[in-house]
Amino acid sequence: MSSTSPARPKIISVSVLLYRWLLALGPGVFRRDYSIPALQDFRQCLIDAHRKRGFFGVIALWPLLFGEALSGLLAEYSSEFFGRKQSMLPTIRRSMIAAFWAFVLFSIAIIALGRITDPAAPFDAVGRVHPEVGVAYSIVVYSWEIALLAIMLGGLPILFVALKRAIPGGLLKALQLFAIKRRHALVLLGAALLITICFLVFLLATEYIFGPSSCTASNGCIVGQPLLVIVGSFAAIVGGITLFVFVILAITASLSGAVLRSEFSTEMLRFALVPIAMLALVMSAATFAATFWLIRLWIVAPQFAASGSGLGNGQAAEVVAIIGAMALSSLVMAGALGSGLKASHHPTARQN
Amino acid sequence: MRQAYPDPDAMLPLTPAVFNILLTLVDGERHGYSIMQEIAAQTKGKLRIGPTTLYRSIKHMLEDGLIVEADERPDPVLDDERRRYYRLTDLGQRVAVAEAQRLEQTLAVARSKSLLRNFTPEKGA
Repeated sequence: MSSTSPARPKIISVSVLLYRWLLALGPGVFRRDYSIPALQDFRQCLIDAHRKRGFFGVIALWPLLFGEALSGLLAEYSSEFFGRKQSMLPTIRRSMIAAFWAFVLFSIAIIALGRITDPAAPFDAVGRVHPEVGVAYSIVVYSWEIALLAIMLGGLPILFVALKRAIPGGLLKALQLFAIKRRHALVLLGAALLITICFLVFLLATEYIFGPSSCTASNGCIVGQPLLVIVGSFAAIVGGITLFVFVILAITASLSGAVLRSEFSTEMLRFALVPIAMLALVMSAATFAATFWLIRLWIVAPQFAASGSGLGNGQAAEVVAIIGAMALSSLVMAGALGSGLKASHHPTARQN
Repeated sequence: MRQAYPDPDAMLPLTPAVFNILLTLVDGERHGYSIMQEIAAQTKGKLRIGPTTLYRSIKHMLEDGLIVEADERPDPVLDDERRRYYRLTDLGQRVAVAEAQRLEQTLAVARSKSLLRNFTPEKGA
């Protein structure tokens, strides 16, 4: 029971004050979540000791309580900075989630590349004359298709297991598995808005730098349009793209949440490393192929590459950004594979 | 008991503090101070953990899904409303069993090497 006695011995008050100061030196998260119950239990320990053995009973507890507080807070700092020694399950779980986010980024990059090379006929024509250009582009396209198959190969069984586990608890429990908290949804919306603004700034900047110099109301430029039309169009574009990005982020976060909340067997988690390895391989291959394709296109067909139907008007800058995104997603995927493999070779994982 | 999800062995070995906290919660929900007292009692005073170690362990056990904070307190009238109660999860229960089995195996090895010559296990234990 908690003590509400107003006449508390001074030694207890002093000890509690010292402990409070010590806790104040601890890491923020621990302090925020646990300082109140820790202080409450600390006080209770002292009250009990004082009841049994008086002043010296309290003093006798000092080395134990202050010693463990100091070492505990240092250990907590250490685990905050360097991470806890993780068991296999959480590490592979994180690898799975990182792999999924990397795949989403990779897919967006590939879709954007497909948009730039549309219509495909002129690019195909260059590919027929210079087969290495065509082959490189085909590698990019097929890599994405293999990556999609790999994500389905790994993702569908995981999703199936997660749902199978949740459905006996009722439909609500199954839906809760994919739920996103309101606070997280707002963060995702903010992130979607930020991505949209960055994307539009990039587009406008490349258009300004590389676009046609003469810009009038009749050639599609916004200059000369009524202000209301400009503002309305801009708001609609920002809203539309933000909504689109938010939906992608929300779906990805929702599936990631389901993976975090579900329980999987060790075998299932180990199995997930196979598609992650496939993804790392094909995504790296696609990144190299796209880089080769861009460089080779500029070398063998510079006039076409610089033209509006090729990669002119700032589209080359977009392709560079796309390849950057592909490289980033490949790196994340390789990192996810590396940490997953490392965790699966941890001695505690080799029990069976 | 379900066999497939997830593998409790992957979380072993446990620290003495974590294992003892799990053991205290096998009998039901407890708050922090009660856990400390019970650990001292069940180890005959050989293991005493302070509030900092206790709440560090609780923090990590919550993160790992071994325990959860109980929504309802056993006796709201008699108890301090600020107290937080914790209870074992299904995973926590299985991890506690797995750790007990691991320690039992270790003990069997110690016995087989005549390390504990005077040790006589209790009947029916």
